[in-house]
Amino acid sequence: MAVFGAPVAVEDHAVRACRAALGIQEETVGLAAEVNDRDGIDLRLRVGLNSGQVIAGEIGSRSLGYTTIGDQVGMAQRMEFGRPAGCGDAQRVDSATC
Amino acid sequence: MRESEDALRIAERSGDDLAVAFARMPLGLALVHRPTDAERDRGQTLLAEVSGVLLRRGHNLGDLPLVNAYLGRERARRGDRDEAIPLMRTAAGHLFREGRLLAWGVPATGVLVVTLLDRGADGDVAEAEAAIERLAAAPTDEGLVLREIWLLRLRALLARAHRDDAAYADFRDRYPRHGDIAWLRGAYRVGRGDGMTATGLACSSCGIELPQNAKFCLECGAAVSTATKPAEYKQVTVLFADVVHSMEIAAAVGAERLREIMAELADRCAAVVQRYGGTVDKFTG
Repeated sequence: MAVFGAPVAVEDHAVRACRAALGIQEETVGLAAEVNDRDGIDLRLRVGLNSGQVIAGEIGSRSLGYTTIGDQVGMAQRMEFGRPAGCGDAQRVDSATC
Repeated sequence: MRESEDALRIAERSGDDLAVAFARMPLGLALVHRPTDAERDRGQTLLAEVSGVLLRRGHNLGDLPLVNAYLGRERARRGDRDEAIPLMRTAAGHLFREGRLLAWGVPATGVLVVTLLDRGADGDVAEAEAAIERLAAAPTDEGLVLREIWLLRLRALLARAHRDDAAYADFRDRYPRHGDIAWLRGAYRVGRGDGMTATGLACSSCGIELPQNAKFCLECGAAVSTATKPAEYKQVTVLFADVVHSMEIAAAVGAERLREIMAELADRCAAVVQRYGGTVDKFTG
């Protein structure tokens, strides 16, 4: 899980996250090819993105550290979960992010 | 309200009728303070059930007078004042005899007095006045804000019943307005416990308040971090990535190879996230 826009606020957090999601998929394709050659398995990644308001701060004892809490976090997780894997259309992006 | 509803749903799943009663009590009390009849009717139903369960199980009987006082208030609302007043009178009297007038006795006396003054039958005003004075006379170490606020309201209503317009206006004007924190602080020294935030420094490990410039916690010895960022609302985009069928992969290649693959993947993903200025929050299964 990664956050764009916290702790340092950035205006284009959504664009950055979209680019990062595509970049992650690209990296995964490269790694998947290596893994497929060596282990014969199909490594695929699902990515979900969601934008909105979260609570960010130091939560709990120091082992947890800086994190974010909120509906938007859970939403991103569920969006990722509800999506078929792959490289092309594996991203799911909510309307607030776009 | 929503939290009370949630608590009730959880309690109902437990099947423990006492747990259900404890969850119904705050929800019922909140509902009878709502504006619509439907909400107050539901609150009354919940409180009646709570009252029954507490009596039957002989549990938390200390809360029973409060529940009964508000049940009485709802009966009075429906026009059953003659049935309601004895119930409320018993509740307030019980709290007085047990020396608990300063806790539940405050609202219990309050609703009794309001109902008595509403009915205004022979002796009602005198009984209301006696109940007010009994509450006002209950000994306390220092001003009890809740009682003072209730007393202002009750004395205003009593003055109106006596047709004493000047006294009524006086009490009414002294009644705090919504959000009138300055009044509370000034008149009744609420918030002297500002020590809680005096230094604004608390141990991140055990939560105890610390003196300014403390380097270690006085209680648990943990090092004090002053770099703690306060929690705040932020507009962000959250990115979740998950390996599809990771457990099948683990079964195919073994745990150690899976760890290698995952570590490599995590490194590459983290590098991408960093390239675009994101923060990797956590890696998790």
